[in-house]
Amino acid sequence: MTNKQMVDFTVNGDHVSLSVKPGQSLAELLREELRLTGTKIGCSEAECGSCTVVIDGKPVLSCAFPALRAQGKNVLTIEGLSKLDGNGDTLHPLQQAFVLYGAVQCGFCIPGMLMTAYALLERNPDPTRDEVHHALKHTFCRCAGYPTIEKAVLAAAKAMRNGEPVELPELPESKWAEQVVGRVHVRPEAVAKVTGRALFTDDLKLEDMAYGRAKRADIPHAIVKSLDVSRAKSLPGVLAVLTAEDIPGDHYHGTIIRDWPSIVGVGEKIRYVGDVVALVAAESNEIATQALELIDVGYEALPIVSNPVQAHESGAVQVHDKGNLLKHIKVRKGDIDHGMEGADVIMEHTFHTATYDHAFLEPECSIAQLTLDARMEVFVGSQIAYEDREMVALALGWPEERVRVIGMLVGGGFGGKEDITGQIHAALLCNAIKRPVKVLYDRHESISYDVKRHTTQIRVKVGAKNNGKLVAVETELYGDTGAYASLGEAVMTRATTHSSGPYEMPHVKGDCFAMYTNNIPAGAYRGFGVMQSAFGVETMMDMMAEELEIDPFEIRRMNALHVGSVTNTGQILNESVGLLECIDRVEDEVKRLAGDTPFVSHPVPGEPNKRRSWGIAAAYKNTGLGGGVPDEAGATVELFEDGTVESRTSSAEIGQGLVTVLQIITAEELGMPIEKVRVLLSDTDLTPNGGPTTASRQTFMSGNAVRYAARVLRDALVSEVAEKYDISPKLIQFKDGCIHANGHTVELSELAQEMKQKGLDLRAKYLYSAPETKPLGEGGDMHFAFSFAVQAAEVEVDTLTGEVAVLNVIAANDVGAAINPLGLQVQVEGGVVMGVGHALTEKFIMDEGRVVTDRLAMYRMPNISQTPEITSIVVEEKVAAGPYGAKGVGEVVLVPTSPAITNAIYNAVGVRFFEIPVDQEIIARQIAAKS
Amino acid sequence: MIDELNYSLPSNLNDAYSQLQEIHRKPLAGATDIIPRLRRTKLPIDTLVDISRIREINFIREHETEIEIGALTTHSEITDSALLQSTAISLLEASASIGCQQTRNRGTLGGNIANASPAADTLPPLLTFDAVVHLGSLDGTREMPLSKFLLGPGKTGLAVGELIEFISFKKLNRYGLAYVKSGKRNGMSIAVASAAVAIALDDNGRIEDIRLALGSVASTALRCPRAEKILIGKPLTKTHFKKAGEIVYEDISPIDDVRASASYRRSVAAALVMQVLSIAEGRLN
Repeated sequence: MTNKQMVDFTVNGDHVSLSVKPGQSLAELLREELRLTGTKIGCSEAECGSCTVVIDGKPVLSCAFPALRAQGKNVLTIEGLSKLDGNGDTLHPLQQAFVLYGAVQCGFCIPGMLMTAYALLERNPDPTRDEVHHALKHTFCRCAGYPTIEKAVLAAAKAMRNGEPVELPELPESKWAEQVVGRVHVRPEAVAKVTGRALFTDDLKLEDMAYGRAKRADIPHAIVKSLDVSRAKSLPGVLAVLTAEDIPGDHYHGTIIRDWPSIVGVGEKIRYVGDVVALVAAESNEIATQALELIDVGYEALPIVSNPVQAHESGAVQVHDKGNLLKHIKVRKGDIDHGMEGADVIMEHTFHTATYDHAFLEPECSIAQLTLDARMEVFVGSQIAYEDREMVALALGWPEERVRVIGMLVGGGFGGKEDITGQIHAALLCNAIKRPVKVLYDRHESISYDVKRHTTQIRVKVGAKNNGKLVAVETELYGDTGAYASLGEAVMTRATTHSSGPYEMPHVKGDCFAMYTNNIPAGAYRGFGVMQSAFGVETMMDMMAEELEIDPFEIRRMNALHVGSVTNTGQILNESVGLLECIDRVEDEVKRLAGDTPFVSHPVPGEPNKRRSWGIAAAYKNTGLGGGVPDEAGATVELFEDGTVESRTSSAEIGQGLVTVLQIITAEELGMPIEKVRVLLSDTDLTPNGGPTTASRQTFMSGNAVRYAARVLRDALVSEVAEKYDISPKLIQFKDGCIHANGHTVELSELAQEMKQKGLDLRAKYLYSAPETKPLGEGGDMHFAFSFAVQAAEVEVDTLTGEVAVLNVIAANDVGAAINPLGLQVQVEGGVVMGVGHALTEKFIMDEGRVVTDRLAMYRMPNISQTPEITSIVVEEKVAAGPYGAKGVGEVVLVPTSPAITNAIYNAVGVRFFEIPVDQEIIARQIAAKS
Repeated sequence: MIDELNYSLPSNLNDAYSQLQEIHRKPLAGATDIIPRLRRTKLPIDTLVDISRIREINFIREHETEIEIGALTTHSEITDSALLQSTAISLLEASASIGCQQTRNRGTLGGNIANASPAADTLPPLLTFDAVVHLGSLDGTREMPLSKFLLGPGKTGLAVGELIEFISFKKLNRYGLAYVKSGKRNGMSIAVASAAVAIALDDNGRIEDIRLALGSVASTALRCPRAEKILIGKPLTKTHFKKAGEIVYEDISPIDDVRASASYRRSVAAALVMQVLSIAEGRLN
């Protein structure tokens, strides 16, 4: 029974008249009834800003705005922004600037960001930097290219004031730049993202689509004793209620180990609050939600274990029958006892890192539909399309050929969209009711039940000579992988192998216990364990430097890995180790800004309660899977008769700029204009498997696959032309979309038509295999490339309240070669901002297995006003096997930020942190105790 | 449930009052949080009476000795008001500090008062103004001092069928006014503590009148009578500001919660008191 009422208003100049429910939000009305899906819903709690529209000139959060209140109002959405001048195809200067400056990454927040900025510029055509920050303060971007967003807004404002085109950004190109590679190119899908036309999964509304939801246990550890779904089934509008018995195939899924039940059955065990006991499909999301409350479940509660150290103790509550130990990971080099004996100074401390939410702004969404030939199609913004296909097929008990995963845009991933979320549930419900089913997580579900970063305890014991040379490092880690394995084993392996830092060390002993608990499962998350262990070892490096009275730059420089070094896993580094250059260039920049004593505490003029100082940290991070896992990526490149080329691989564009990278590589290899290259990603029927989008590997892996596929195509074209003109293939050149052969010029389109008529295949395939790696413990090359980074952070600390502001970050990253400098710039900014969040503002809190921070309002990611000035220094030490010398960068940008900040806090006010995020209460208390 | 709600959009106060006669009917002003709350929890509400179109109570008026602000005045309107800029700067600062631009555009002064959150930004400055709340209903109007109107978290002197029409306060021409707040970065966005002050000096440069109010340190925003008393007749020195901070530290009894410990709230409140006093000092003359 609903009490619908009419509402009349204007949207983007068009009058609309609709009947709506009183509780319906304007965002839902725009998206569901008017199909203006450019307006995004990120949280439905008036927190994230993605849903911002402009009503009578003012920015409004449409997710919290009752639709009926729009009566008589004038609403402007992102779809209307480009036609304000009456010409539907002209981008607004703000849209142009966002495209040109590279302010668009995953694109999910962009409509809200643009509408907020539009309202600002309408009111204030010449805003200052602070005014931009104030206006955009609560419109979040998790890709967090905030400095670039700010520049784009200011550039648009200037263009609008002067009636001139938007000025182009100034950005250095790669020192290895080729024709296309290493130069500034705009993101090909940016226009779709700034106009609201870009489609994320929830933007699809299939005919006859039903809505699925999951009944969660909301109890951390229990046996399911009884389950009664009859009341839910009889609710009008409910189409199906499924329990574990209704799963036709495998009940478990999992990225490495299949231990995660899709639905927990009667008699089986609940291991965390998010475990699912039933699924509902209904005519609407509201009915499905109501039905969940009519499902009666009886539990026998069990005691819980919520801490990885306790989980390892004998007599601990057992989460799985096989015990709580997921994996004991060992790193051994030299003789640790001998090493420590030879040390002049030994220091030891234990560190803790919090649980962090990925907090991508696009909540998880999957849609499943059956095709006429009885195949299951799953639309999802996922980081691993082929694995989704495998898991869905297993759950259905079908061969994989009957499942097609169609990758949609991913509104931020950061590792959080590698595990299965709603894919299997949508497919099971769809198969049961033979109608398309959408499973959309609301923000509460996303934050409360989806994977997180591993909470980690890290004990670090370092032995050094008086001259600062490190001789031995012993580390012991406990990683909390939560109720299910997810990628826990791999994440904690990376944490352990990187736990002695990017330093030469004769004697190493590392042990890690990856433990199951009744907490939320932890999986992949940008930095993949290395972020955690870097906090430990980089804090220790500063403590050792202080103890030995050595400059923090110097102690890192004298121990830094370099070409010829042997890592702690026994890998000889033969090339591409840009760490020393990162150290030197950050030091130069810090000293240019702060003088010769950056690590001294400085007072702040006019602010007697504030102190400032700098801190630094170094890091390294592997590119690719490594550890003996075969790492492969496939690609197809096809030439069309109109002279365009399409490159295809199943890898995910999660905001990092992969589409641009693949487009650049294709254009470079075929000597053609970049605009004539299209990229198709992540469709398991149409694109070869590019492997998981993880481990900073896609530029290297899919980049190489596309590069070599393009070369195969080029070779085919060369032979054709060589034969046609009877000339040596060596004389044939590709340039500007044409083939030049000894005086002859053939356009690609022309050649394509000729070859097509002959029945020749214009598609080239390539399966790229990365250089072989060795498993941990066997020595040799555990990884085929490492990226290096050094960051310096300047903080300002309020000595009364303990508040910390990060003012400046200088970030040097050795990326091998910068294929896409525009994309690299915003990746660096976003990594640093996420690092600021991890150091200072973000904390996912659980209490006895239950989630405390269950809304976005309680999980504070940094906003634009908390963003420091970020200076990016690009170091390019080529790696031979990488495409044009490139290696990964998506993760390493985040790794050193937290310890650089905590080291700076120590230098400013003398308070040392062994735990992140920093608790400002501790700063205030310790300073008060000292004075 | 959202599906079973009724909604009305009255255009004048009388219609609104007749529609608000039952306890399950909820007036909706800025509507900055009701839709998310309805989605999240079951609220005892069957009808939303959207009062946002009632022009009668959206105004900022200046009389000879008084200022009146209509309940439906938004935070953005307060922030943009030249009159309030010169007569009630601390209220302006409080409104400007609220959430985001999107919320300030819709959130209203009346809503901020009626929600009676201990952390509500506008309450400490209004308390330092000795503001009076003017209530209306079908039965007529009545008024109450704000300090009496606030009863506890979410609790006020508002009766069923009643709305806040406007608030009024005497102009504080000779006073230095200020508002500050401090958040905690790894908690929720709401302030750990906030402080507002109004100070006037006598001819000898000593404090003649002082009103000090705090937010987020008790179940409602409140004044600090003991700290006020100790400052009366004193010169404006750091020593006295520090003394006021110490008294506040002793007198308040905030709670421990996810956002901050009680002891941290006390020390932040003490620090804010010193800070707000020196800002207000700088604004005298």
